[in-house]
Amino acid sequence: MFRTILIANRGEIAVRIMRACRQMDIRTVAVFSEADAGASYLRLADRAVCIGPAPTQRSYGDPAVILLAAEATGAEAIHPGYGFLSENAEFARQVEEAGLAFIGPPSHVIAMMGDKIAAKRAMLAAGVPCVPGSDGALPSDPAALQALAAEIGFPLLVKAAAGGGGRGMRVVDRAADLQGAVALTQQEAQQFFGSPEVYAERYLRTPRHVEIQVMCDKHGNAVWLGERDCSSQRRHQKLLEETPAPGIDRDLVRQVGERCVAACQQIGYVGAGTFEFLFEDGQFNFIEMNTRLQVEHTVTEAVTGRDLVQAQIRVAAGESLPWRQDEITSTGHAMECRINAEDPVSFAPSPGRITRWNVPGGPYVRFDTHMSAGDTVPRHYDSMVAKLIAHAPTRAEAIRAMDGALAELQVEGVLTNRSLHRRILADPDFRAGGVSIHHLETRLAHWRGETTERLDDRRVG
Amino acid sequence: MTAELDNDYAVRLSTEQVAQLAELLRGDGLRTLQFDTVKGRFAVTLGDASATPVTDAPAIGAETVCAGSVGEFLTSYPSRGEPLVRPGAEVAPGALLGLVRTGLVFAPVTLAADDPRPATLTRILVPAGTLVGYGTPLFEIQRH
Repeated sequence: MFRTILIANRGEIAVRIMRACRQMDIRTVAVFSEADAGASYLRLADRAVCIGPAPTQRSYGDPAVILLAAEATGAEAIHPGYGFLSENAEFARQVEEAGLAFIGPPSHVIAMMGDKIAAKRAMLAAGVPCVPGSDGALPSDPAALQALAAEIGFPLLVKAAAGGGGRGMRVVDRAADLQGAVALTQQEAQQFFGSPEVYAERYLRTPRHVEIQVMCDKHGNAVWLGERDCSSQRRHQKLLEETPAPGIDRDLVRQVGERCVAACQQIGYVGAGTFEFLFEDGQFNFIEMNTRLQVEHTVTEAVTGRDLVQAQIRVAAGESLPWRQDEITSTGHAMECRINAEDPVSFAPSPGRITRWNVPGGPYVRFDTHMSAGDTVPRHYDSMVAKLIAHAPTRAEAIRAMDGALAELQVEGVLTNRSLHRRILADPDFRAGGVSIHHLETRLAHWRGETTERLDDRRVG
Repeated sequence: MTAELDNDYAVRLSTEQVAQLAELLRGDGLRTLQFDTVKGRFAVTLGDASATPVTDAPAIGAETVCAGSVGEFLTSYPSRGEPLVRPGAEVAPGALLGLVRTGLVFAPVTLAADDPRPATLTRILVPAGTLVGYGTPLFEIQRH
């Protein structure tokens, strides 16, 4: 097992990894930028070292300085967390070349999954259900393009092969718009992702976002650990996640989970991974695979009682998976609210110094954060300051526990989206379960109208 | 807990005395105790010994030269015992003051040349051999 792990990340996920390491008697090296200097969570690491100025590309996002820090501190492995360099195949390759362990899949697997066309081919080969679409890049011949589009059916989605996370795609409603949309997406794909390749898929109108968690070792063992419903999103950013996904046939989930495991074994996957699907009309449709730990891994940990970060570290060190598939069970219902330092109405980031920080506790509650009163939310990075997780015997009880915990959370000095979460929990459609990925946006538009009305009333009064 | 002695070892305390100081700090809920003598500064810091390099704080308003990368701070080339520069020495803009070693790479620490004035090196703020990070103050200087 590793003696020292360098954590190439910041914030709550850095703390989460430090906690796993502490359980395993592994020393931790935290790296930080000047914007995070003095942050209280850095004291939880055995060693903390400043690696650069605030901008991401010169600190957390710079492979060279991370590797220097690993060398200088004698770290044997690097945990990339999520975001930053976690899905950067070139960084993973450099870590491997430096003789260190990258806590994640091999670099060539990250590269394959980063290419959406190659990823989809691999999934089809393994029998993972995919959205109907083009087999590979779109043809340049206009007649062939139209024929293919007619076969897929309108509306369809033109997507950049190197895109992801909701970027680099365009909906096309009719044949007349196809040629122009393809050209434009190709241009953007070249500009933003460095490759002009685009492909097409059927556009699903009101899907849910449901994903499957997997974990694999270097010896060909792989398990799936249930699903997560992450349909409550705003601008492709997940806000609230839960497991199990309400109202989906358990047998169907199991079948898809088993297909995901088979795919992992075929592509030589190692570590934690997530298969993202759009779920519509009782069918799962693969969209992409995330080759890292997810923000929302906590809800899976809650219902399975398994520590995913410890397992990541074990398999990266060459150990066998700590669990067999038949040992993975799910108990109760878990939910996670991402607490962001932002205006709950305008969504503008709200950086600044936290002057009051009272955190919730009690039965059914887990609170993952790197913040304390006196800490500062820097303006340079993601605005997430905490993750609140509720795990209870039933979904209704989980909602109740979550709402109570949100009521307990008291933050001053910066704004948070706490009130927005409470509103979502009170929404009848959300409470019924199974909303689509567009539901929250629709609700937000409606609520904004209400807010304006109330403000107008006040002005008149 | 660590006790940092300045490079002239101006402060001499037994380990028992250091332990007593640490006990006092812990009792009062403090993290660091620091005092200045004619020859330098003495600091006792509680907690994660290596969490952040204990650097000797520069005098208020003094100009410092900082590390530009992560690594082990060196005041001399490893094969030579002779320090690159000693406190009190006059240094020209661009002069090599120290090194930050990471693996096989030795990154130079030089006096910034954007200010044409020479300077006197007044203090070395970090003991040689310490792990330093980006921006750690290493040298205190006085421009002429």
